[in-house]
Amino acid sequence: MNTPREHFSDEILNAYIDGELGPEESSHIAATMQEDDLLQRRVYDLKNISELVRAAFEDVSPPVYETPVSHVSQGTRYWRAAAAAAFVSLGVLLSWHIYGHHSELQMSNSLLIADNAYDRSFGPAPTQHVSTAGLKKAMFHIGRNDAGLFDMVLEETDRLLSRHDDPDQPITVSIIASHGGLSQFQLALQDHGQRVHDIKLKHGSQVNFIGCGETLRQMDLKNPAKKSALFPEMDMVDSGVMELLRRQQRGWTFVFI
Amino acid sequence: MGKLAGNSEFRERLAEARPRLYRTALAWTRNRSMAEDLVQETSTKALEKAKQLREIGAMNAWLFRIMINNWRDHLRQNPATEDIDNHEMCTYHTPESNNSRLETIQVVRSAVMQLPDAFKQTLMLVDLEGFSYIETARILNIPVGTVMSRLSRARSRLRDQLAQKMNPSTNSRQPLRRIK
Repeated sequence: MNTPREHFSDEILNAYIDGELGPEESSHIAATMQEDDLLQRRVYDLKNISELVRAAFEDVSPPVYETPVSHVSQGTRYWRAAAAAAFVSLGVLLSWHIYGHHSELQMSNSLLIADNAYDRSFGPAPTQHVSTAGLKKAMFHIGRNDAGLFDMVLEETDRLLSRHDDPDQPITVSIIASHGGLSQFQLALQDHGQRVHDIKLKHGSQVNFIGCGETLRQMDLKNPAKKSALFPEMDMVDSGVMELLRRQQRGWTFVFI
Repeated sequence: MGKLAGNSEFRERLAEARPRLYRTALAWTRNRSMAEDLVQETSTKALEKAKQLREIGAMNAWLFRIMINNWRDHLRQNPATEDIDNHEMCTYHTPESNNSRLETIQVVRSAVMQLPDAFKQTLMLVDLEGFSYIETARILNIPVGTVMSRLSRARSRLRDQLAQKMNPSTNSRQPLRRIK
């Protein structure tokens, strides 16, 4: 007659893989695993999950943080950002329904251009030296599928980071793509893929590429058979437009080309 | 301001902790902007409350406790944000990328971010930050038994979700691939 297998709860097995059990209990589980394949498999699966979670998040690149200079609480800042983002989201949703995709693009661009009026901006004047002193965070928006525009943004990003002459205040540049612009992030565009890779290699965490999750969902819905492959260097946000707005509220400079 | 806030070791440790705070904040908030703000707010409060920290060695757990309190305050004041618990983050499935490490990372991140907040908070503190169950219980202000049950349910859900996502052609559980 077979001896009935001893049952260990998931809580106990998790405590075992996390090193939370005493030596006696740990040894007992280890010994039982030697004779129980199912138990071995359960422990292996749980351990694997733990390792997957750690591996999936440990490489997350943090942004370049400003050191808080004031002890005045900024507690309501991101709550306000969330409210403002919800407002923009509603506007985008309405324009989507009323005017369709194209007008959504117009709306996002006009928002940014209007904000740009009081933000610092850089026109395409590469021969003129522009001091970047005091500039810490800049962002470009790629809102349409235009290879020429993407070229210019990559050039300007490289130039901005290369010419920045204040090592004490590193600058970060984000390139945010949404709507048709997300197509420019597709792997199929090999030339740009190589350029993105080169720029990442050259400037490291000072430059990042951000895609709009909402646009990607729309693209995949339209053509489910052809899922979009994007640059491995790219990060995703829920909505590119909301990301732009949030960053502007946090003092990012929008660079309009 | 307490003595510790002016202490260079305190500031250095605060700066060192920020990347860790950020990756956990990202998993909790599912939003980079929100995560950045949450970390910034945590840092600011840490400086304000530095005098409450009795020993520098306990600073990491103390910072995470401040961050979870900030996040809970936010969720209380903005209950609508809880509705996005079921929100599906984008993952990309292509024949070319199906076996890549990147693909696996995206699938795992997406699955973690879909967990209920309480599960996700516990999971990240234990798996990513390496806090013990007792430390996690103190940070979250819950009993150790609750840490164990939340962790167990979180991993169990992840196991099922990942098995399905990594091999959608079958519903049976498949061994998970290592990505390291």
